[in-house]
Amino acid sequence: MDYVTLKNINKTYGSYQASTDVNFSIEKGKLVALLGPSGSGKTTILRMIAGLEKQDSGDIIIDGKVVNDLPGSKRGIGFVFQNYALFRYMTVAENIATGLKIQKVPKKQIKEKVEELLELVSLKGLGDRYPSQLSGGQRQRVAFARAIAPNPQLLLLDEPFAAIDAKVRQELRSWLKEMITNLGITSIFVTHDQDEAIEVSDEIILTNKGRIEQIGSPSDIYANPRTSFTANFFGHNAVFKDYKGLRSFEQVDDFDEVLIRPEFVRIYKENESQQFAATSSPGKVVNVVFRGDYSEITVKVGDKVIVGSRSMGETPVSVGEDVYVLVYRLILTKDNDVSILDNYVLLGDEVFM
Amino acid sequence: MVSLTGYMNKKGQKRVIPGFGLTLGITISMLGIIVLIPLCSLVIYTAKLSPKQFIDIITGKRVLYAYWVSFSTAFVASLINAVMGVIMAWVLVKYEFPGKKIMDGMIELPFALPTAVAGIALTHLTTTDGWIGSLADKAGIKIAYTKTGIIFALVFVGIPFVVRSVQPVLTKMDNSYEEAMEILGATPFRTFRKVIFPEIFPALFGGFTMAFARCLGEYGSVVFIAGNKPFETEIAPLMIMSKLQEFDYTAATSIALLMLITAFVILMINSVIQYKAAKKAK
Amino acid sequence: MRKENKLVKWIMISICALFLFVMLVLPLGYIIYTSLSDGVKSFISSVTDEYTIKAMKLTIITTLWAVGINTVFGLCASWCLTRFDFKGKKVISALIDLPLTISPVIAGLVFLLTYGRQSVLYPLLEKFGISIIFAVPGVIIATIFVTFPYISREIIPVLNSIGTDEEEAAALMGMNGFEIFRKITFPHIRWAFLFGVVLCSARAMGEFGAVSVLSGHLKGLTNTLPLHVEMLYQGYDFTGAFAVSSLLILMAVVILILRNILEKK
Repeated sequence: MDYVTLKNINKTYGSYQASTDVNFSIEKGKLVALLGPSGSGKTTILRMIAGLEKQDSGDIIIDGKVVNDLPGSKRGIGFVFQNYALFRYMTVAENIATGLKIQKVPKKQIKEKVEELLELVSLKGLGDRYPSQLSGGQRQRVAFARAIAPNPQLLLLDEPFAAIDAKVRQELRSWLKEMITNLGITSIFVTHDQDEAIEVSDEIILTNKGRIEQIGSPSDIYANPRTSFTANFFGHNAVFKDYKGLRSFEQVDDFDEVLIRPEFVRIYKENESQQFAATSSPGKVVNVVFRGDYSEITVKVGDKVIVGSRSMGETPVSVGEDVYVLVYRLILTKDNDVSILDNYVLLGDEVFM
Repeated sequence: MVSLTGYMNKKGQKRVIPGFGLTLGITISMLGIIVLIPLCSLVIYTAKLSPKQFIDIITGKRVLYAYWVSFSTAFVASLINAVMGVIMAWVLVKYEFPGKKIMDGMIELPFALPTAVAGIALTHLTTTDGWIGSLADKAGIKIAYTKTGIIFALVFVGIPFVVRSVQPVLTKMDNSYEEAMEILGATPFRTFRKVIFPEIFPALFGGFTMAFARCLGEYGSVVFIAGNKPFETEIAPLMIMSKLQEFDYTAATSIALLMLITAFVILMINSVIQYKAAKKAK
Repeated sequence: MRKENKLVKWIMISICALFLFVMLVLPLGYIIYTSLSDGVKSFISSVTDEYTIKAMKLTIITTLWAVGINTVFGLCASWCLTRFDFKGKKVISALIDLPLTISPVIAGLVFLLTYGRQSVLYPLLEKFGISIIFAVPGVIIATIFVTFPYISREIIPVLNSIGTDEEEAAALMGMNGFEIFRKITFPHIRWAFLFGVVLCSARAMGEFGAVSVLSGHLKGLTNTLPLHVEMLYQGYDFTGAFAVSSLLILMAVVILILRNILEKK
């Protein structure tokens, strides 16, 4: 069942087109990422759902009701702001209690609920602190607790991890995913970080220049990009004008660019026996970067520089060494269309597909 | 991403943050009553004058001289304040010394002290038997009831402007600039001229024009010390005042209008300079 | 190099100290010294003189009016200028600052033209028996004009720098406008607001030029303290003038101290 639906949404700021014909639906209980580069209109979409902005045309439907003229406070949502927007002159407990007080919940119940939430976000005993006395991660958790206190049916989060340093961010991501999954609350969060979207969300809505590029599960959207923007946005692509010199690919003429992703590349040492030797192209290692659990290897094949990897378990390669490069998938783009070209020798081979 | 909260929707949508209609309504009506209507009445009143009348009044010899006195004294006083203001801002930012806090706190005194009180005090100090005046008299300089006296009073009025404009810029400026110049072997004077002065110039100029505009219109502190002799120490605001006392509103309005225009031109020049400086800084 | 710098430093400090001493300390010292030179008794009698008390009352009333009106205006103007975007916003902020650039004498003149005998409004005012010019309302309105931008100017930068997130969050939770202002916004602008009130009071108490045009100098009726000082001075009652001036200096010093305390907050 769809909980949130946006129908033909358009929004302009003066002459700036922030949203163009935006359509999507979100199932109840799903955790959805609105992903896109900055200026792609993702925050505008979130703010329109929250009622912080109003669309010029189109309908926003929450729980079967058109909410276009309903103020944000009546839409049953919780909102976590990018910089948390904690009330700086209220304590943590007062912050969390604010929404409940407005709903005229009895005092005793408020107190219990605040304690419960503080425990939920592991901030027990910090209720009397002011936001300025908390760390970034703690503030984020207060903002989360404050947003879910009035039991909203929909949780909206604007770049929830942007203001937190990298180390804590990782922890918070898993924490938030777990928390939201346990609560079962339908949630939408905005991010510009593809890794974050892939890791945290059940579904990704990719935006670009005010339009929706693609909607799908992280694995689907990653493996099967339908637009050249999507193809370019995900992965660490190497981009070429042609794919001459790479063996075992069908000849296609009508395309703009060729994208090669590291995960579609295998690198073999000369002495390693391999069944697809005829399909591989010879190259020379130009750079090796140690990444901990794997090594990123840059190889020159003809006039192309291709990046692949070898895991720790494999025999290391060194710069200048002659190697074989096996590419088994290319992504071809033409305008905003995408076609995927698989290595025909490997086609149907279970190992790679 | 840029937040465009509250941007006016074509349909005049209800904003998330409440209070737009109420506060805008109060703001505009009060602005109208206190500022706009009165200024309009000035425009309406001048519109009744024929151009010839207007020109005759503002080119009257006594009026022209009053303008000249106002303009020249305000200019010299603001110049003195520009120099002293930079020195003072420098001292307050770069040096540590006992009594610095008191010195810093005192700068605003001319803002807080009623101008009439300042005027009387300065006059009494600078007459030939005042504490300062008697000393100056020995050197053959008369202060009270001369242009020097007017400048003296205007310097008092304008002290805070330049100091308070330059001070924040100097505070923000890194010491590394000066250190870099010192390592390059530049003399302190060269460092100041080439590195520091260009940095503080927009702020200095802003402070200077603010002080100048203020001095041009200053009345309270000047009337007492000026002596108000026609063709000598009569300033333009005083001309307006004396025309008003003769109930010659036409003349008063004409003189005032020219002064208003002058003040606006000065402020326009300043905003152009500030705008250019801000662009350059990018 | 170091030694030379030290010398420069102390020369510069001395120049400033001397300048401030001559320009600021000496005049104030002189007033207080002179006002007490005829003895404390004559000082007290000048200060407690009937007309001085009346002038002080009027000054206080005027200041209260100016602060009151400008508080309402300052809060409304800064709210609508920082919380919303709309056409004509720049014009409004320019108009608010206008009184800062206008000579006080011209400000007085402008009100004289608006409410005086030659004004189109005059017959109307007369019909209702309202006199503004050469009466207390004139003094008050002139003072409001010259202090008009003082409070909003202090609040606007603070509101701009804190942004609107907290208020949006509160609005999303369903708080109403007054609650948002009282509970969320006001704690942020508290000190800036008080700072503006202090500056506004200082200017209101000391205003001379504009008030002088509109008051008509009616002793005991429309004289504020600064005008009273002038009147005493023109009457060659120097001790009296200086004694009353001392009062104003005292106020100025108190204001300056308050200012410095508030600035640190």
